Amino acid sequence: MKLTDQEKRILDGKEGLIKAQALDYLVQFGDAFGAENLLNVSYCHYPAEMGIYDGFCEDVEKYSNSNIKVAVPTTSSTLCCDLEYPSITDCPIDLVTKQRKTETAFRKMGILETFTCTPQQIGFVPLFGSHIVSVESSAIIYFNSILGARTNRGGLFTRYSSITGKYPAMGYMLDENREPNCYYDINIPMSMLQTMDQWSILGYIIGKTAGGKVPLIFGINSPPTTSQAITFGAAMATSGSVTLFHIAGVTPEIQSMNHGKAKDYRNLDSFHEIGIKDIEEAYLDFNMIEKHSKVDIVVLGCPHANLEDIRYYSEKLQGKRIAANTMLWICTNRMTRMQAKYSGYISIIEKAGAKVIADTCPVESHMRKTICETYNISYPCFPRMVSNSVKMLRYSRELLGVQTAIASTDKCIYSAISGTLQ
Amino acid sequence: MKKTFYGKRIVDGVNNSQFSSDDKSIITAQVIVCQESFSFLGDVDIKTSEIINPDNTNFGIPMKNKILAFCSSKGSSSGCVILSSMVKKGIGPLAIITLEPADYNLVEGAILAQVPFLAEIESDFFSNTKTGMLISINKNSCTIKNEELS
Repeated sequence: MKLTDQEKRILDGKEGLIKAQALDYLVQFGDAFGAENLLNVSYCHYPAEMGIYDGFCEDVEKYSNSNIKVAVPTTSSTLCCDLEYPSITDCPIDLVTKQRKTETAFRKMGILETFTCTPQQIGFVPLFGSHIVSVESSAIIYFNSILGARTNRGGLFTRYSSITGKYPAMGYMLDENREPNCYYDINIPMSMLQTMDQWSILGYIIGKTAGGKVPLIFGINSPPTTSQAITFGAAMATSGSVTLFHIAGVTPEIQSMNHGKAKDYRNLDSFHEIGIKDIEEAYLDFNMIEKHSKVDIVVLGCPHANLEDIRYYSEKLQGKRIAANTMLWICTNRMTRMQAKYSGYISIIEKAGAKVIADTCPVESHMRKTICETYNISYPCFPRMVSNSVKMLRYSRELLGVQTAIASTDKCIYSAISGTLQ
Repeated sequence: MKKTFYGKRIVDGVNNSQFSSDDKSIITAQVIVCQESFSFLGDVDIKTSEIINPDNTNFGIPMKNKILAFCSSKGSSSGCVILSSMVKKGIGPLAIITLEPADYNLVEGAILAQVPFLAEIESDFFSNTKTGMLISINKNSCTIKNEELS
């Protein structure tokens, strides 16, 4: 790999051992994939160093004690508990204490305490064409596809990029890997693509066959809302490892590519047509609960809800009451919760008996089987879950041991109010 | 029947203390072959290393001290965290083989955990190899030999 004089200086330890080691890992990583050089990155979204993984909080605490600082603006992903109101999810206090080490370490390192899977909703909107490094599969796919910024599926090495501002020139950083290589024609009426669950299911279907490819999607005639685009991408990155997708006439990068029309790809093996039957069948993968039977928990805000989502939930919950033995969790980030509190949405939601939770979500929480066993918590915490998100349900099924049902946002809220699946 | 398959070495795992046998370039172990895509988040129990996704044909099989082969990676970017966490606890796979090009996210975990990672393996490996078979990976030549096929 060709290195600049500045990079060689770092690697030689002239800027300290920690930076040298970080760059060495990035060079090893780039060499493994034949990268020719390192790129400068302008932003990082950092892994949460969650308390539910042994040793991770202690590791970042130790790392921060070396007084290393991030070199580029760096936000942080979700934790295993709500650090502002830890009791809101009944997280064991030992786990909260452990997780606080992350907060202290991040402050030392200059990592912003956003603790969210949707940093793009609170102002971190990298420019079109900019090189960034991000964790969180739903954020990664949004940055690449909707914003046209460039990131691979980041992971633990985001730490090294954040303190050096570097990443190898490979994968989705490069023009040649951003061209579509599988094609989808969506043949369903737009009336079937109005609600969050509908977008989530469509993303799930595409991700299943796309795997790690770059889909170009035809037949979506009106652009999704921000929340719909987020849940759509999140589902694609759940059933597959899709990192970048294009929607003809909608997403920015495809506008400058010569892509033709759906019929041009019809004879390729990588062409898929999605119709009403595919949608109906996909719903069956998540609907394990009988209609009108009891629901224990309803989860909204996967990925984390934005202010408009919360305003909408509060409108639906105004003057209503959640059923006695059912929980409604609305997951978001701290900044949005603060604004929602100021705007009066939180008091409406809380009066209805629902909870607005920041920093975390059920999948990332102590509700995982392994953690319940460690802390002697009855498992599963909530046997029957309803959500409008494929991502939440898919991971909750295995990790939290729940029976699942997918429903629109409105039906999720009605289910929480009635206590039964609507 | 063909018994040697070529792939592309991504991570060699040369410093992994588990391979302190005479020849560090060869790892021999039972393989778990997933014909499906695989996600470290949601498909594996991080305490027991068992595969917990009922849709996976290897449901219930622990991956500790085995070689894990899957067609493609899917799901959460915390995959690398889980892989590295499992290896730290001594319950991770000995090596990873994939049909598709390596997932950048998992490779980060593999570099940190020094887990050998072979990608873009010849596709007939997946049709000729069954879970439980003994295979050897030669990290120098990037080949996999099925020890049970003659």
